[in-house]
Formats: sequence, structure tokens, C-alpha cells
Amino acid sequence: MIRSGARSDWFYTEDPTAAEATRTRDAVARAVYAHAFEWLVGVLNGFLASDVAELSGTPTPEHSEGSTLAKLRFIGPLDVFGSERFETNSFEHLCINFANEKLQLFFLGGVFEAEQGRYVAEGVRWPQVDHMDNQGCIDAIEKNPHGVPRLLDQGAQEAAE
Amino acid sequence: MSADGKPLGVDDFGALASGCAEAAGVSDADMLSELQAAFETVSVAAATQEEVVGLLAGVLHLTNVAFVPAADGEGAAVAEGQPRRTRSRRRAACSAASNSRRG
Repeated sequence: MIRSGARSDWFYTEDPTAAEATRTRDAVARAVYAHAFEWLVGVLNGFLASDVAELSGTPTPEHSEGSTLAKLRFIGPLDVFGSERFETNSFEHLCINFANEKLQLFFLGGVFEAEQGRYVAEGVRWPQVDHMDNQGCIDAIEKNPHGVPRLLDQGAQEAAE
Repeated sequence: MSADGKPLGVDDFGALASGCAEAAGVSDADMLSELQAAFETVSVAAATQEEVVGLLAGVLHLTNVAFVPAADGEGAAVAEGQPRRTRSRRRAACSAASNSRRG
């Protein structure tokens, strides 16, 4: 089997081995599936946006609240592993980053562990997906007796005495 | 449909080799109805739903295309004949998963 391809202004043909042809087959299948998935996400986002527009009365001007809401309602991957890091980091930043870490742990638990638990329960052969576990980071902040807020409390009390 | 006119099942597609095609308490028919209702909720027309199913079937059939070294020794050719049925092997894998769960 010969496959041909075009890259800018020249052509090439090659004669793949059975293993190469199999890999190409899988790549095409994945690409088609990925596009179908993206189409579906687009359909859902489009529906959520139009739903809001209907609730707030159509037509909706670009700057109105309904339109803003429509833009805010969408489906996408959640990434909350965002830490604030500045030249000078205040106590607020510690609190914000700690909240983000707690959210991330909750998210990991909900998405990876609960979903994988369900796959195992249903007998699906499923390679366990490794994900970054941030429990150590959370322990460093909230675990007694050496968690940061606890140490701060202790330091403040000793200073006051 | 296969060449002998019988509808194809889960076991006829290599891409669905999860080791277990059935789960206790899960009805594929109910889940399909649920999926169709969900599509209707988000305003996906019945004709488009058909196209989605067709596309997914196309992906499954594509992944069943097997390649063998070409007869003249250069490159590869599409393997002839029916895709290998793997029903018995899958069933074995499925019960193995159930056993390990109980153990």
C-alpha cells in the first residue's frame, strides 16, 4: 500500500510497514474522535449560552448582563492549580494559595479517584492514571502541630505574653 | 452488518477491548435512551444524532482494519477476511476482573 502526502510545494510517497499503517490508522481514529468530542462540547456550550439569552430576554445586546452570563456559562477543563507568587507574598496570598490547593484536592478526589473507582467497580480494564497528589502541600499548611497557621497562632500568643 | 448479514456486537470491535462489555446494574438500552433524551435537551436534531452514531461506528470499523506485510515483501496490505472474533477471550478477562474485585 502506498500513501501519498503533500507538504507545501513538494510531494512524497512512502510505503509504510504494517506496524506503521496500524499506527496511522489509530491516529486517524483518534483525530476523528477528538473532533467529534470538540464538536459536542461546542454544542453544549452553544446551548448553555442560548439558554441564558432566552431567560434574560432576546435579543441581548453585547454589553448586557444576559450576554455576560452567556459568556460565563461554558464547559471546559478545570484547572485550579493556580498559585499567586509575587516578589513579596502576603498572608492573603498564603490563604488564596491554600484555598486553591484545597480546591485542587477536592477536584482530584472527585474526578480521578471517584471516576476510577467506578471503572474498577464496573470491571473496566483501566490503567490507573497517575495524577499529582498535593496532600503533602496541604499537610504542610494545615496539619498539626507544625501547620503554618498553627505556628503563626503560637508565635502571636507567645509575643503577646 | 458483517458479511454474513448479522449485526455486529461489542465483541466484534477491537477498539472496545475493555475486557468486560457488561456491567451489573447497567442497562445499555436505558443509557442509550438517556443519551438520546440528553441530545434532545440540548437541541441536537434526530438526524444529527444519527450522524454522530454513524461517525462513531465509522471510527470503530476503521480500527478493525488490520494490516499485514504485503505479499511482494514491500510495505503493507489490508488484511483480508473477517475480523477475528475474540468473544471467549473477552469473557475470560471479564470474569477475571470480577474475581479480583471479590478478592
